[in-house]
Amino acid sequence: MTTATATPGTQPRFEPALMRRKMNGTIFYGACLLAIAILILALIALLLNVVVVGLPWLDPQFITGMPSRRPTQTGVFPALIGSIQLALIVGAITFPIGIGAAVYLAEYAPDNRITRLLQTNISNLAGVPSIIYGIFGLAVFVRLLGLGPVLFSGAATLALVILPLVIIASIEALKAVPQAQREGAYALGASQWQMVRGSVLPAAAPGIMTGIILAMARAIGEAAPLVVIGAATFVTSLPQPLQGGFTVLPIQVFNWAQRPQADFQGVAAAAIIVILVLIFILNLLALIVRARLSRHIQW
Amino acid sequence: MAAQQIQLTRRRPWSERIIELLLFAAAALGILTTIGIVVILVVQTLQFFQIVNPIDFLTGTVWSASIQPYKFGVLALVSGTLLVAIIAMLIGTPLGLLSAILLSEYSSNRVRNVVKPVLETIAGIPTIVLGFFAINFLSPEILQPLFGVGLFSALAGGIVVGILVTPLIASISEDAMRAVPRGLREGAYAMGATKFEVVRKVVLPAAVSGVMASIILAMSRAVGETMAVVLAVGTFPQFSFNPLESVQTMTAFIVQIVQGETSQGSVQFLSLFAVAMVLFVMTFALNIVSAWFVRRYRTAY
Amino acid sequence: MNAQAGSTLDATGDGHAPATAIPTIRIAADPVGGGAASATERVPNEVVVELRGVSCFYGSFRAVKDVSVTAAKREVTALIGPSGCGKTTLLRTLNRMNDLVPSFRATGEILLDGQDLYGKAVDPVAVRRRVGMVFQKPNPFPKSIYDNIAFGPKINGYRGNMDELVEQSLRKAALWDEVKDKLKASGMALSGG
Repeated sequence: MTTATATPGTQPRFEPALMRRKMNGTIFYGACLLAIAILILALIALLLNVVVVGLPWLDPQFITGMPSRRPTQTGVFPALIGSIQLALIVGAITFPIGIGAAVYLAEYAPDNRITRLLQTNISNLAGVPSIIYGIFGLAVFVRLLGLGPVLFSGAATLALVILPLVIIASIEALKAVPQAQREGAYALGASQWQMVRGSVLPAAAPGIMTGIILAMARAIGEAAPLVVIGAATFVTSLPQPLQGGFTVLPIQVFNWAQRPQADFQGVAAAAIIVILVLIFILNLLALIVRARLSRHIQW
Repeated sequence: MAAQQIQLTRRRPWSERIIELLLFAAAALGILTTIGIVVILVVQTLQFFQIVNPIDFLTGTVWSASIQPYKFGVLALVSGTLLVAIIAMLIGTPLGLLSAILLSEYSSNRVRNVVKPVLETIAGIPTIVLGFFAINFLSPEILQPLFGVGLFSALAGGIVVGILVTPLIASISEDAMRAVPRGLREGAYAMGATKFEVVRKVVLPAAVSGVMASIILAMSRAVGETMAVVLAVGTFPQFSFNPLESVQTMTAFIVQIVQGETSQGSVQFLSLFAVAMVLFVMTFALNIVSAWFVRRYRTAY
Repeated sequence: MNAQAGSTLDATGDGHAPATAIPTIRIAADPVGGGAASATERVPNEVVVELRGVSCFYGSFRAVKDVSVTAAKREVTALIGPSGCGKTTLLRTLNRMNDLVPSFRATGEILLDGQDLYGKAVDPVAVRRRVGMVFQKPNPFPKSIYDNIAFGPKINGYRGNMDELVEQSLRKAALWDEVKDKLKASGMALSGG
């Protein structure tokens, strides 16, 4: 500890207290580490819980079987197919609309009030709770358009849920493309669409595709809007997109998890494992697609 | 020599115009959706208010939609939602902020390689899994022995929703902290401040707008969360701020009505829209405030 | 070599540097079929590009002031000047690249083969198809080498044999031998030059 004194005999004017301050810092660092430790602990507890409860119930018969009132004989095949079909339809809807809206806002839109309104609107939509989208979907797709509580209605509703996120991520990917790329294309005599399609979109493709695939992963796990739409909880035939009832894995989980019997908790956990595996596969796919699309990009 | 005039005049081909129009339509779809949501909610809520007095609805503290005598005091549901959300914030804010500080100020490769994947994994877990965790493990094995609560409690829901929103707070706060210019930090270090002091007195105050934005956004997320709370919190609406009790959130009530056998035009069904309207207004307001904070920190530097 | 006096171009923004005269230097090539003409009877080449009283503005800031200059066929015309005096801006008016900046405005006449490049009915895309540009910093597209070369012809509707065209172009740039076995490699791997 140093003291600064002008003349001997006077009180020290500084008390740096370095040791105490450094110790505070170390305690704080410890608190940060504790926070991470708690998060890791929670994550492990979560996954362990699901695996321990669900793994015994996970067998080929469970994955490929039809549902039954008895948990020992039940299967998730219709729900699994429903989830996969749902993801595909959601992707198919989101792909053109999400990219189209993002391209418009990032490349074509003039800097005026209408554009700002569109952008603010999309940001707001990103924050609307998913269950409210469910209500919208119920009123519009199921009732107004008369489609009924079919897989397609659920997919359209979920597409709306994830569209704002896809648009925002795509706009960011488009904005990250250096201006030099656009100028290079224009200088060759490209029209705006030729420039976008031939130069900007391929350059932004890794970010855009990653965004879409991850949004699809999110859609696979969503249940709230589908509950409102009217997804069935007991479906004994494979879902068809435009007719008949449908179910998806999260709905099955929701149905079974509400029952206190250990058997139902077991199959609920097993279904969760299937969901997590699907999400994991999609994340892996996102990585592969990203690597493939950015093999030429070096900026 | 005959000068070959190059053709310079060429009207913009109609294909370009159509493409731009299509792209604009995609962007404008959002406006349609927003208008649609508002119209649906407003129309049905007004119909609900033909039957139930809006004042009673907005100020009543007893909610009994399925059991006679019917009472529609939305504050019971709002209190449930807020109770869960506040508990979630009490958990998520410190966890998220400390993680963000770790990522932004103590960033080494080892730290990043652990913290980022953990946060991203949590962010990717479907909310129904969190709900399952709450009633399958958290409540029976931990909360019940510790606090003597029943299987359903606001605390259980609050804890899992807190875990849910932590990555959100962490990522936006980290963003805000990174935006603080190095010069500010270095000035403080140069005066002999310890790392902790720099964080506490320079970085956090400078990033306060972003941190506020993240907290408010997380609050909005917690208010709108459905699946985790439906499973964890229960279906017993009461105007209570006791976290150990079972309550019901607005979102859980919507699910309950939709799953039940209530007929289309009944007052119970209409109450669904009124509750959704309140939910929408709350989250919308929170989002607007959060966006205002984001603008403040994005333009501050 | 004839040196022709240019005209004044404002220095950018700060008002410190005095107005500089930008000399343009013409390197005249022999006119076509000019074998019989003696050095004293050189027929001037036909003027292709002509700027008359051109000023360029970004918003209210004037980057180029009242420039009149011509460029003739089969000649290399160079614009020389201190950094920031408006050379790039002037060049970019020739292929309407400045249109990409919303606040840009040009006054005066900019003529290509006698046609006003900024006429009301003129499409910038058509201009850029005829007026090429080589950039200061190389900016290859994130595509394969082949696709980089093929991009220009493709968007302009080239109907011939693309493989031949790519090979010819690479030969002309003296790159063919170097890249002929890795046409699928990333165009961004070739840096510089």
